[in-house]
Amino acid sequence: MTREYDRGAALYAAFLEGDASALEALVQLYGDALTRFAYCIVRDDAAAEDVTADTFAALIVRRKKFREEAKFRTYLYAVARNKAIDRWRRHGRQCSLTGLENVLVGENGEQGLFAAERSRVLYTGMQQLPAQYQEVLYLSYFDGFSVSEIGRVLKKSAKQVYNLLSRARSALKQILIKEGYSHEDL
Amino acid sequence: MKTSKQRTEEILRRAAAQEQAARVKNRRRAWILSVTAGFLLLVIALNLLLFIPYPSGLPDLSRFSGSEYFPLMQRLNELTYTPPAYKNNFEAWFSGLGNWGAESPSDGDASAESPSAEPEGEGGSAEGSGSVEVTDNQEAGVTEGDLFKRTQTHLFYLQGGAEGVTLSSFTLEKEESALCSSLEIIPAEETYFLGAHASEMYLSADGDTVTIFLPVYSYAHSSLFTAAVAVDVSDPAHMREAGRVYLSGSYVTSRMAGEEFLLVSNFAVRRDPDFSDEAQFLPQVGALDSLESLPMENIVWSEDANAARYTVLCRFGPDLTLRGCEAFLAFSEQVYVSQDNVFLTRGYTATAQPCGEGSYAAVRESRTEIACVSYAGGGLSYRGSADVAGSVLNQYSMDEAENTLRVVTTLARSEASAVEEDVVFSPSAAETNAALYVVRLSDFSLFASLENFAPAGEEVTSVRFEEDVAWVCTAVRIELTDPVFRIDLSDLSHITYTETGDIDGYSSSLIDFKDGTLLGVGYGEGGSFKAEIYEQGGQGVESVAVYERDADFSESYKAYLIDRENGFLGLHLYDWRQGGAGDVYVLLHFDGYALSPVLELAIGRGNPGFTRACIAEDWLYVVVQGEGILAAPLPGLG
Repeated sequence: MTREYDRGAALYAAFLEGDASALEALVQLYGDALTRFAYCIVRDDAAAEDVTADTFAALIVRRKKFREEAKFRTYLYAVARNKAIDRWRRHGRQCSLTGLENVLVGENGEQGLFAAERSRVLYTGMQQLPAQYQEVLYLSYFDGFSVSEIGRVLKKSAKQVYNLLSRARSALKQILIKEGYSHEDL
Repeated sequence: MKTSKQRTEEILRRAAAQEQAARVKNRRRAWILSVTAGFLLLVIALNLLLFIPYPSGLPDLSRFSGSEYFPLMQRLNELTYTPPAYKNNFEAWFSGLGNWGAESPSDGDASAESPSAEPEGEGGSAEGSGSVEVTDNQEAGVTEGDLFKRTQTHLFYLQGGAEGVTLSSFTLEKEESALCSSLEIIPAEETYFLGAHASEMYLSADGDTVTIFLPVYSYAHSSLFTAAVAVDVSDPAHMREAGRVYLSGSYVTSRMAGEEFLLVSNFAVRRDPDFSDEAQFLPQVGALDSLESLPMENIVWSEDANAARYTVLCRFGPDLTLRGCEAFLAFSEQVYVSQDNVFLTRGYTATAQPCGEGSYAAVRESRTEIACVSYAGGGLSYRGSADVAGSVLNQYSMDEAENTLRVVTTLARSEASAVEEDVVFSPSAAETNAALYVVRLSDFSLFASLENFAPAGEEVTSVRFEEDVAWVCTAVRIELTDPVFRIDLSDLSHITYTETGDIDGYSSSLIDFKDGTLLGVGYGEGGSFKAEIYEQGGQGVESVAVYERDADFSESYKAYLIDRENGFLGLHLYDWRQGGAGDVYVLLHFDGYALSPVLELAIGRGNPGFTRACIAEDWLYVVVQGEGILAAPLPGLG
């Protein structure tokens, strides 16, 4: 993870210095994950793609230079979350879950993170949860964010994140049990 | 799903669009900010323009603290300050009045009238080989100015208007009397004269110099002055101006005592004066282009002064050199000049009885402050002042005798409404009466008095002091009835009086006349002209003789020819009756029994107040304004 973060910041710095290929590398690195994260909020694949594209576009426009101790990925996901919430508010609070399959497949298709059945089941089950629970579960389990990183993205304290995680897990567990998964499966 | 490359292209496109949108947004934001800033600046500017308050409070005079006049300036500053009519431009522009800013200074509060009252004293006596006095002066030795003076051989007459004043000389040659020459007295540049009726002249004892006093307005100074003009009349056929000097203030009166002139003017300080310009707040004297302010030591004032107006009293030599000047912070209305002192009156109203003390409203009464300035022994010195109830009619209401000042006043009080029996008094009705006061000149305290001796509601119409006797006529003018009182002042601890009782008409002038009688000139029944002779009889004051005629006349005392020795009264009458004589000069004669016309001359249409006449070598000479001179022999009176 540390390597990925470093790589993200390095690629962004390279892009800011004029390396156009660094941007594509960044998109490849974070594109799918960012889209899935955005989907948790906007519940539509096309909208999630828009959010991802707007997020990266915002980085280009702002051209913010990061210090060494700054977290590029955290910043990226925070921007994406704001974009997703803005879009969700503008276009109505619909929970249609459109294009979930596309999001699950991602760019990398069968080789992606969600290739594993377990991951797909969890992610699909998560879509029945409130957006806040989805966000915190996704960031924690699928993108490996630490509690502090999740707190920075969601603008919450560590304690609040712990509480959210706990409630989110319980809620997801109930959903999965309802869908026929046993305690041993969970 | 899009590939990374597709996503990247989409991202770049969106970034470009966002940058473009940001640029547009920034430009729009800048435009909004500049418009808002401009609007705010405009609002601020408007607020500053409309709502910045005008300066209020007394102007700061600290920069004049080193001036000898500084204490006086401070008092004048308090008296003349006028706060702005509006608080700010907004009120001034939108209140609908639009009258903001300082008002133009006013200097016209003082009357420029010369006293037209009844003189006492010696009339018709020669004052030297040149001049022959024709003015009936109140005080012996104190000559009063007039439009008319004469020598043994010539008459001098003053007439004019705003364009100028004309001094004319006429020969005294009986039926061949004629105009000798005329001299136009022209106003100085940027000045104009304020009217002939306010002008007076004097003739020097040697008959060589005429000195004219007249009110002048100066545009350059925006102020009133009194001009003294000397004219060489040693050759009446070739008169020429010999000098001119100016004194601040409007002309009140003047006198000639010996060879010196006493000149009284009222000088009003303009509102909100510029204290860096002494002409705006100090009396000045001299040539118009080189006026000099009176020194502070010659200005008398007190913290109680409540009007920013001076009475200025100056002494001039026959050549118009200034020999002394005194000014005090009070304006003057009537002036009486005795042989040693000048008395100047100032009328005002005061609360006699506050509301609640026996009345529903405050009772106010008229009062008079009389200031005294000594001119005896050369120079001028302010002696003090007295305060008496009532108002003073004219100079003849005052008389100095044995170091006392005797003054007759009309009392007036405004009382609250009240119901007394069946009579209801209006709040504004004034109850009038008459009073006589005697004031010690040593300390200006009231020494003796006689109050309310007239019928209620009457006012003083004429007064004449004759040694220890005061003759007073009172009347309700519109009712045309009067009593004449003879007040005995021989014992001031017990003042007594007798009267005529009600007589039709009233006298506007009382004159001590032939053989100890009293001549009253005034109105008869119906407003006609009436001259009446009174004397003290066994039953009181009695009418001895009367002449009455339906005619208009002038109340100006100096328009009358008075010859006590021979019992003559002459004046200009306008007989307005249909078929009447029109303008005539009538000479009345009192033979001890009757007052009868002995001579009547038809004269041209003129103002009776400006007609003058004299008797010389048994001839009557009459000068009518604009008509020239007429002469007629006196009839033999056996």
